[in-house]
Formats: sequence, C-alpha cells, structure tokens
Amino acid sequence: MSNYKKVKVQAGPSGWGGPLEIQPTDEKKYIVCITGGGIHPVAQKIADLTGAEAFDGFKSSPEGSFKAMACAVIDCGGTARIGVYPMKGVPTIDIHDTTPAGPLAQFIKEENFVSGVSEDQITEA
Amino acid sequence: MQIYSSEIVKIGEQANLFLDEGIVVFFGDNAPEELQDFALIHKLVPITGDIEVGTKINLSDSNMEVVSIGPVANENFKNLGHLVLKLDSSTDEAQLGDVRCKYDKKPDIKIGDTLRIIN
Repeated sequence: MSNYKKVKVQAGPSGWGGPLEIQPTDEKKYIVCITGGGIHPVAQKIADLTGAEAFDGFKSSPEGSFKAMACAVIDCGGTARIGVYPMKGVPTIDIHDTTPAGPLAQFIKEENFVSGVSEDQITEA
Repeated sequence: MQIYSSEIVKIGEQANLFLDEGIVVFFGDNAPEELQDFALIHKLVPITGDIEVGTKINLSDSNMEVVSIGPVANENFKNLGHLVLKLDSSTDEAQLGDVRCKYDKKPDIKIGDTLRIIN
C-alpha cells in the first residue's frame, strides 16, 4: 500500500491544458524535474504535497525510466521537451506558457499536459 | 567574437523527426537519455555571451544567421546546453525557446562536426 497523496495541477493564467491529477504510486514514485538549475519549486511542491520524491533528471535517470515517473516538470520553450514526455505516457507540467507545437504536438493533450504552472496552481486534491 | 564552439558527439535516433521539419534540437551531453534520442548532443563547454538577432551560427556545412529569438532561449542554452534552431527564415516572433534563423543550406550533420556561435 502506498501512502502518497494526490494533487491537482491547473494551468496558469496564460497557460494551456489540464487540470491534471497527479497520484504517485509505489511504481510511479518520482516527480522528475527536467529544468535548469536543479529541482524547480513546482516539482518540490508536488513532491512535498504528495510525499513522493523529487528527482533531478539532469543528474541521473530514475530506475525504471518513464515507467517510474509520476510526472515530469519541464521548462520547455515550446518545441522539444513539450512532446517527449507526453509521447511516453508521462503527465507533463511546463512552467512556461506553451501550447502544443513541434513535430510531437499530436501527443500533447489536455489530459496529459498543463502549462504556465507556478506553485500557486498546485493544490491538494 | 566567438561565444561558443563545440563538437557534435551524438545524433539521437529520432532527431530526424525534428530535422525533417527544419528544426535542429540540441542538448548537452548531460541530458537524460530520453531527450538525447530526439536531439543532437554536443560536448558542453562554457558559453561566453548571449545569442542575439544577427548572431552567426555555423553548424557542419551550414551558415545561419539569427533573425528572431525567444525570451527563454538563452537561459535554456546556458543552463542545459539546450538550443532549438528553426530554419525557416521567418521574422515572425519566435516561440519562447526558439531561435529562428535564415541559412544558406540545410546542414548535413555528422558526428564530429562543429557548432560555432559568433557575435
């Protein structure tokens, strides 16, 4: 039995997509942060509220790769990372105000992607 | 003045998804495996300036010049070695992380080629 709590992540005022509900499990227990400068406050808040572990994706890869990710937090400018994680089935949270674009746009849906997110858009569900 | 010079050390298996649409995606050699699949990987070295409109970019056999740049492009390049070049010569406002370029020819990229950025 996992003791992880669920959080709701909404789009920011100029963002797109969502809301997403992030529910970590024993199998998907990492809040993976793929941003510059270590763990972003958005990833840290999701980790703190859910009880899951924030993981710096630029330092190493979590054991289990995509299958172990409860969600991915990115600072994508709208072309590349925005599509990679949705394509792999990972709920994706962009801190920038992006909308689906790039060659992988077809994989980006309101059900798996939310953008413009700051700490204010993360609440207990 | 040259602000960046590095070598392409890997070409991701799916980088062509982007290259076919005239989009060149770079990540540094510290990027997670799942991102390296979609990108050109360069050996990370310090960048000594900002990319601006008019900056010249030499990649493999191609000469490019920046016509528009998104507001987070420099930050992403400095922090992550992540750079997105759009080869469409458009002067429309670039997306947040994009660097739009005009170019003489589309690059034919091989491992060992160089990426040079000159202001």
